[in-house]
Amino acid sequence: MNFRFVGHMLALVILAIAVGILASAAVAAGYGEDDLTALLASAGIAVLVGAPLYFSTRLRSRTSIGYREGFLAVGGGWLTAMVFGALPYLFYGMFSVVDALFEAISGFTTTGASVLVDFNQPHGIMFWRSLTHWYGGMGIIVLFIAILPPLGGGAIRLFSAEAPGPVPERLTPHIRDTARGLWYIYVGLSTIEALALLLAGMPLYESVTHTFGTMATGGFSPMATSIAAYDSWPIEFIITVFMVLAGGNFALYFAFLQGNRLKLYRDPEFRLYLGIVGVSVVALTISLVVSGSHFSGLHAFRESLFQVVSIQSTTGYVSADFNQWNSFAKTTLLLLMFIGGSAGSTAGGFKVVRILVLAKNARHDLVRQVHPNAVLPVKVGGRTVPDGLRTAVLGYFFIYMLVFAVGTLLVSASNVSIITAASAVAATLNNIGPGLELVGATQNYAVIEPFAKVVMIGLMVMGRLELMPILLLFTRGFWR
Amino acid sequence: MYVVIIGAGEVGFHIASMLTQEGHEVALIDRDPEIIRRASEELDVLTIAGNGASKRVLQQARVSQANIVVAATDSDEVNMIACMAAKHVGVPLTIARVRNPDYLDENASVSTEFTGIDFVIQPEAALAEEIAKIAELPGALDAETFADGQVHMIEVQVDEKSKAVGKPLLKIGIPRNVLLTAVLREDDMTIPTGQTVLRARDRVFLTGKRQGVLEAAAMLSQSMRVSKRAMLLGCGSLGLQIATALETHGFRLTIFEKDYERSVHAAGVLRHSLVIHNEGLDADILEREGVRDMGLFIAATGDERLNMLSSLLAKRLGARRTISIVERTAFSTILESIGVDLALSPRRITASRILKFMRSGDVLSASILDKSAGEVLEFVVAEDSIVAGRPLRDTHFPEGAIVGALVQADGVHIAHGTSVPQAGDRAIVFALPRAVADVERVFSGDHR
Repeated sequence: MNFRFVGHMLALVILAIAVGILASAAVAAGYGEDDLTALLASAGIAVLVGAPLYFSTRLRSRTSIGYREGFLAVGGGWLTAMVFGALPYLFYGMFSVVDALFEAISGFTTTGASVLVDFNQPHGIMFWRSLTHWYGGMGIIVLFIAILPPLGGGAIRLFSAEAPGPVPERLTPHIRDTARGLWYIYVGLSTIEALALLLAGMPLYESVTHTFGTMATGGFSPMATSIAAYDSWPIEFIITVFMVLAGGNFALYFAFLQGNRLKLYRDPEFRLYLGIVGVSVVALTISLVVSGSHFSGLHAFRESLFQVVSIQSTTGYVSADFNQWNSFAKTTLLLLMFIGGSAGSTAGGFKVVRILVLAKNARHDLVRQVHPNAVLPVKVGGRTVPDGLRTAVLGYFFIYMLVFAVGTLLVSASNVSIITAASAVAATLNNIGPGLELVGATQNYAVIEPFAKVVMIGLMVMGRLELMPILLLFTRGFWR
Repeated sequence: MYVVIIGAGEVGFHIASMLTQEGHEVALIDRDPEIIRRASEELDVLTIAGNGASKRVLQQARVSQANIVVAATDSDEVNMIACMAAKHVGVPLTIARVRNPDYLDENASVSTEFTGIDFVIQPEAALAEEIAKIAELPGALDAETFADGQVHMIEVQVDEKSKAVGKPLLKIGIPRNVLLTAVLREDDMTIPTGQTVLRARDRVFLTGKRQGVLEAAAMLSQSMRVSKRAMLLGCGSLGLQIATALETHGFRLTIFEKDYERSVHAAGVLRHSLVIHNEGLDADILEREGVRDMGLFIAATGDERLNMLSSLLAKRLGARRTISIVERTAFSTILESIGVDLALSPRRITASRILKFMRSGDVLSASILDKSAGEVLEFVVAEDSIVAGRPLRDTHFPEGAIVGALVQADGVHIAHGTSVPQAGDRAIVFALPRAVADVERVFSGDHR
């Protein structure tokens, strides 16, 4: 194991966090509020730890990065980020240790599950809270690949350990250019959204923080009642559009910008992703109107659209208290949590492309009953999914469900209802945020017992890194 | 015309024989002295034993004086080099057979600017195209289009149940806009008159507009109902090309392939086909996979004996039409007499495509019919042609040839004795091989 390389990556993560906290401190200074010292202290500690580590692990000219180094750097990097990202909350004294860690990792993993009850907090610390989303959305390590000198052949291993989806798409000969392209798109879309929200009448500070939450498919809002606070059609619409985009594959946008317009249109995953959103919105709208509550058709459509997109893109913004909706609507949203966004997006969840592979595989099993000798490769977009990858998806599904089951079991030990436990686990494992009942749309995770919070911290990291980098750290073979 | 043909295999030999029958000068080059000896005995051609890509051998064949060079050896590289060398010394038209898809670009042709070769024929692609064309017209044994698709010609086999059997042609009521151009009985091609009596198993060639031709075909053959399901045996490079071509025409295929790697590859490439990893040689599995519902069964494995036998099996199990891919054209006659509907050989298709391309000048296109017993040619009527401006029955039209259709300013017409071709019209002409040269002369207005 090349610990020097891993240490170097961790140092970079810590320093990147110091930069983010300093930016938040600048906001705090701008507003002249009392969180400035806490932020500066946190940044100071990060620099004091990060800088010596950085200089003591300076990379020699050629380093070799294996799969294990890749996984350890990414898995360790995220846990390190959680610790240093929690410092501002601790120093400002707003959370206990577990709560601070919970809020930090919920931010970085773009979950958006919050333990914050009192939203009357200074702007600097709330800015940091939203900024953690934006850091985690495209991935801190991917950012390093983009801005640091070339890491050589091993960079793809780092990239694939952090980027969501079964196989990261290499868009350019240099993985570094790919990472750059993705970040350009990420920054570009973020800028456009912030400007659109400004035009729709949202104040600058809230536009920026909500943009962080949208593009990273996070869900933290500086408002206690989330997007419902504005009750504005245009704002909901803008956020809906960007949530949809954030849940799609950024590689497709890259191709689109390079002139390959048809690729986006033809991509089977993107089509299925939009298809699921479309069908769910229609089903939910009908169910809300029929269930006889006070919904007009248009109102039901508006709420359904926002909520379906928010949940499927794993953002978790709330425009209405869906906990009050009928059972069908709530079940639909719960199931959407598991589907999640596309591979190569900032979204969490099981990923649409994996659903596609599973569904085709299952259909082929049916065909095989009638044609026992048929050769039926699973194809996505006309290309055959290699057998190894197909079985990997099947295996991933099993582990995913296992983690969900164990997680639900552990959380239910803290004596909450089954719905609360299952939905809380679904909402954290899939990086969404709000669940049902106790952790529902207008509720929050503060009431959950510390043990369950620790479990959910693990679930959030596993969900964001797609299980393997974290689970591997707990296998004996990994360390040999 | 002086034509140099490199490679005296089946393709080269066949082309040489067709050309000499039409009175052209031919030089035939092959590296195998034995083949050359046989060719010199059977054909009236100049024969040279040697490597066709060699400059010395080409000079010996006076290649610089050739109008056309055809390279059809077994080696793609020799064919390409020979054509490039011929082009270099100023041969106006070069034609090469190239099998390996690596040399072809996405349009299945070799880049002309790069190699200078005028026409490249890829036998497997040509065969696949041919099958797709035939499959489109159920019941048709062959199908060609002329005048940019305005005139269709198809070949159908008269079946026992048809009302046309045993009656003179005048009495069977073929649609007025369709011409029964030729009749093939056993190996004998004739141009029918109104008194000709059709028999079951005769093959007839119908010319006209698509709709009329299909109607007429339906009168002669029962099997004109469309079925878009086909079964294919063997999915090597030829099978895969056939399957791809059929898929683009909307067919759904069931494919048998005994090699696992190949079947995986095929299943990956094809979109609407079911690939079965099995030899597909026993009746059980063919029946289970629904051979009796198939409109078309194609046997395209690398083993021609297997192809013939499995086509017979499929026919017996109820496949409506069967096509066997064979290497040697000699077998096709017997095969077709024992129940296989069609035996196609990549070599025959190659020869026919090359001949079609060679007829440049006044001939717009040409097709070689079943067993090379006749050709269909498309001409533009020249200004000083003897047929221009007077009724056909008054011209001294060559015996053994018939004008099938005329594409005139006001549309497509079936030619009658009273039709008057005008200069600039397109004429679709059927000709027996011995009459081809005469017909060309008549239309070109070249009265030497």
